Amino acid sequence: MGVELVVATCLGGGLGYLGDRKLATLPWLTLLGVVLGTAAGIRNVLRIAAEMDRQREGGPRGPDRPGKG
Amino acid sequence: MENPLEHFELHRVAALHLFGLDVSINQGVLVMWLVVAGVVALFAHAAVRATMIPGAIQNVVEMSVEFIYNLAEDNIGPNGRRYVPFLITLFFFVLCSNLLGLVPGMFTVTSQLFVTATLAVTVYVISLVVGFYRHGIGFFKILLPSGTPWWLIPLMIPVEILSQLARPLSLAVRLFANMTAGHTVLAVLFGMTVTLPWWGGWIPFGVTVAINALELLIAFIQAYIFVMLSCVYFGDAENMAH
Repeated sequence: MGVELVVATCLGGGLGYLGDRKLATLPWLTLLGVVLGTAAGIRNVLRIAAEMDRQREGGPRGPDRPGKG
Repeated sequence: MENPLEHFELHRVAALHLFGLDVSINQGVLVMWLVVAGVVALFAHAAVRATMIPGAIQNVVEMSVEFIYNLAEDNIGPNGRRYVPFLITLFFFVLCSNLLGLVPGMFTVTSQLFVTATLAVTVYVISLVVGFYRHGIGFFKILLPSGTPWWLIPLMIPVEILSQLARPLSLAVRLFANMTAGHTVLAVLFGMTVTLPWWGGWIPFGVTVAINALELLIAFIQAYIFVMLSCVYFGDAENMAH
């Protein structure tokens, strides 16, 4: 699942860089984007890990199942 | 030694222009047709001559259909069976592309980012359509996990938007990168085999055989992961996991 982290970080950084190019604020949006992208990547990894956990335990999937952060 | 990335290049087989667009047929398109024809033939063979006591091919097909069926039911919930035809198509297309690519001299269509991205974007768009159809405008709540403290909201929404956007991208890149990396390793090792003199060539050749076996495993695992993650995304859209 390492791809998840790389892709999200690159996506955040890339979008930040595009925004920087448009607004001429060069380092700032890129930095913000990388940080947010990393957070998004970690979130995706955690989500998939929780999903796999649930699958191994054979828990039900439905609207009323206990929520995970 | 020849360029180990050369076999990823697309070569035009037949030039074709339609409505001002270049839709020339390259060897990737030919292999995709071959994959589709092979999968259709496999299923037709299993379905047309279906017997009470399944033969070898019918057995394999029925087992994999059941496998995907369970995967969908586990991950998506009671509505999972509606996705089974799409998921089976996806699984067999990816799997057969991966396996066919392992035949020496064949082209691996899943090593093209365009192919994997098309599949991933299709999956993601379907999950969005299902989400908005099931939950209406309330589907935007997926961007705000329940139980977020109010002072985290300005931070969580951009993070969630990015994590949503990263989904189709990572789905596409995972399959593409795994296939490209594996086939590059194979090409490098095989290049060594050809380049070394007779007393040394057998070492990289042995490793090539071993890596090919590993790639066989990866072909199955990647097809499984692709379909499993598609199930997870569909499940999120169906049940609003947050």
